[in-house]
Amino acid sequence: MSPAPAAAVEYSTLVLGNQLGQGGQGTVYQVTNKKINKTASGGWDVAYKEYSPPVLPELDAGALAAQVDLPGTLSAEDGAWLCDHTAWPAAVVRRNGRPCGLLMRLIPARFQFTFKSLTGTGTAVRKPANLEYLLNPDAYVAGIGLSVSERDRVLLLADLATTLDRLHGMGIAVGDLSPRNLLFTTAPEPGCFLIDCDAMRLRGGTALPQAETPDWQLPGGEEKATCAGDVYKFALLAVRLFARDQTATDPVALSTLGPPLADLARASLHRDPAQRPSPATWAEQLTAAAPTASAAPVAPAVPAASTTGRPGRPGPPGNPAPAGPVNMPPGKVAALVLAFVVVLVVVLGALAESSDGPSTTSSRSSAQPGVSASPSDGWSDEPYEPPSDDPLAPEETEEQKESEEPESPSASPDPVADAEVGSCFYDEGTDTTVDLREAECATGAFEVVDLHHGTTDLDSCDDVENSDRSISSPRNDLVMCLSFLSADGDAYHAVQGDCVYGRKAGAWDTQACETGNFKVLAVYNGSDTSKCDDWPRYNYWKKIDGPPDADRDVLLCLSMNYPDDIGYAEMDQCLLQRGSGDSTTHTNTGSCSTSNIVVSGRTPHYGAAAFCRDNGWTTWQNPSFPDLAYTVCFRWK
Amino acid sequence: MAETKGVLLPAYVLADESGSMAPYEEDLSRGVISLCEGLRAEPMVAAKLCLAVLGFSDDVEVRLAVADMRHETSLPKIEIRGLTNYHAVFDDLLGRIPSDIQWLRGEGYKVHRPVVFFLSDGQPTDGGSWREPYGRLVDRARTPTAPNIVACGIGDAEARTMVEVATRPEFAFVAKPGTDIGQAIAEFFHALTASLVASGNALNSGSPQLVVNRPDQFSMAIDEVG
Repeated sequence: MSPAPAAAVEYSTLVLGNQLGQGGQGTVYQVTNKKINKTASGGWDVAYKEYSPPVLPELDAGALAAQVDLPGTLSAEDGAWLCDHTAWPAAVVRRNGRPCGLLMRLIPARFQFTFKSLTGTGTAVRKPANLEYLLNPDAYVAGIGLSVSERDRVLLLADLATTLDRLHGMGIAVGDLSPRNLLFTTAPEPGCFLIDCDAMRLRGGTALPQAETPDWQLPGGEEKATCAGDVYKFALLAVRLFARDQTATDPVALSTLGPPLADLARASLHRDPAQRPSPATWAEQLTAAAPTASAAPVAPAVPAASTTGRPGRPGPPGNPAPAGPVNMPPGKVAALVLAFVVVLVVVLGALAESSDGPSTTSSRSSAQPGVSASPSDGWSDEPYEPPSDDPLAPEETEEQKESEEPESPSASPDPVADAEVGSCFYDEGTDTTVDLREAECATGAFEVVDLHHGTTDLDSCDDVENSDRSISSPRNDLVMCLSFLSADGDAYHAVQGDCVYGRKAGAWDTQACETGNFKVLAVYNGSDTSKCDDWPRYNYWKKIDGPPDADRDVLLCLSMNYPDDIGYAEMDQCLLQRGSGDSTTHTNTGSCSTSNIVVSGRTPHYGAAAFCRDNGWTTWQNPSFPDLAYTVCFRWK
Repeated sequence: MAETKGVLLPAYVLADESGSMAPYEEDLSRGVISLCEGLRAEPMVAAKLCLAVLGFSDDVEVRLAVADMRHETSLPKIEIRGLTNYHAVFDDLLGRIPSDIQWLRGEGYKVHRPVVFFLSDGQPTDGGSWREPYGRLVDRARTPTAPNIVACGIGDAEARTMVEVATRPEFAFVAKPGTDIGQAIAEFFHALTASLVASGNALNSGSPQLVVNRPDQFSMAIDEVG
């Protein structure tokens, strides 16, 4: 699988396609008339990096040629591994007899993802899955279309640690180890891929002067591009990956994974390079920590509220909304085939369809009593269908298919007997019969929120929070309390007094009450919005879909949480204004004698100062709900 | 808060929403969206910027409040209306920028000198009255947080005016004669995104600097006034 021994390629023989990227050192283009590594089916697509003119005088052509020659000097296995885990320089490109750039493999398709834009309707854009996307709050990560669990993060790091260990063994120090130069995937299993390899240092030689990414520098004075330097930056990456922050440096971020990892990070950030542990130690500790890390992916597209208030004030719940009902606790007793499907679905977005679920009888809360459970025999034998070949990655398809073959199902095919809190099912039965099929915890499924053993009493779920259905299985002598995962979000389970938020056309979730989100005034079944009209402060409604054909859709009557009492103040109402500037507040004291302003006008527009003429005014909006904006005018008493 | 969270670059985009822009409303909208989406796809840059999009005509309307694009869940909307009142722009910035920066500092951030990207398709309709608030805005003695201003003119906007608005001659650009205005708007936002990405990358490095890319189809306005 090693590429052919290095030979210089004439620039004039290249047919260049799209520009793929531009950086400080040069510009990368697709090459449309060449492939490398033809031993892989069809060969790998190629990219050309052209050094920018100011860089060329600094280029050490000998060092670059040594990089290109490296795979040929390694064992076949090492060479293949290097080309599989990095975009290692494959050939020097020359123009007018001088090196002007290099060829390398194009980023494999499994290290790309479909970027989810805010417009939503635009054409899907595939982007390299740079690790920089993961050093941000969960709401952002989910919002751009990524779904990565805590365990994925641990395993990604473990793979990177292993990769560094092996690179170091070959005499390669990465040097500028930063999220920009690292790509990741989570399927078929978490792994990483290194780019910008011509910047690496091979056996002391370096093709270009060593540069560092801001915020990713070694301690002052330390020699650049050494194995110990790589470990320092690896520790920064570990801390930041778990802190969801681009600049964090406190190893405490790793403490949720256990003290050994936080200690390892502390040692790796030691100013004295000799004190730092090896990547192999990291790989060992991370691998040990992986089984206990949560495999629950962050729910995709959970909207946080948008900017509100005066310009400059951060939006209301800038914090990520709850990670949603997706839950797959460690140690889950699910058939292996299911666990495997979940890992794949996270990234590929394809759900394994198995046709028949077990037939169990149940009841919606306090409806028909459950009478029997008769799991069909073959449910777990349904094979997972790998996704169709990805045209972007023909060379990967074969090996992916191989590795994606599901393992044999476990001996126990009874999903009800195996169910735990956090398991999910689809119900393909009718109102009075149940036909359960174990499934990923995705919208449209029912999640097990409680299990009662030693009983078949369906009413035992009555007091269980969020339980919509109870199902009894006499055979297993248990009752499962199920909660529906609505495509419209967990606001499906909101009750009076809760606060909820979402985009106008998107999922809505329950959140802590904050300025800019909505308070639930009332919850009704059905869709008659006139029921909301009589609620004081009612100004918005939201319908949340229930299970299909079950007539259990929900209507929420809502009230916007304005910053203070002036939001709902009426004409001539007295209020007490305190503070100044950004910290101004308005309180309805219930008495004009304890107030200092009187409302003299209001308009449902933001920033309508002119409307208030010479009076005082205050204005507010949540830009996502401009119809609920206000400008309120007042005069002093 | 005593702890310093990081150093931010506040960037204000002033988009001309006057009536003469009506034929190009969609271009303008698309430009603003591409800017916001472009930054959202660059989280290491977005984290170092505070972006505001302001629409101006008779007055200034906030289309996007100073924001980290990573936290935004909706996109700004442009609204064509009114005249081309430069006075309103600089008067607004005179109040807005110091107040935003005070707020950011209160939140524990350090702040680079703000940058304003000004795009107009016409000459000011308020005569010369804008020069007074403009003078105060860019005078670093009177306004310590005085911004750098990059001015791009399209359509009827004159090179001489852009040079007056820009805080340095090399920050003033006008679309080349005969350039399609819709295309020029797209290029403005393209260059703006690239400038912000390059500036964002340069922040926190040894030599933080404002990088201003000349939009394609534009020439430096000073060339025009000779």
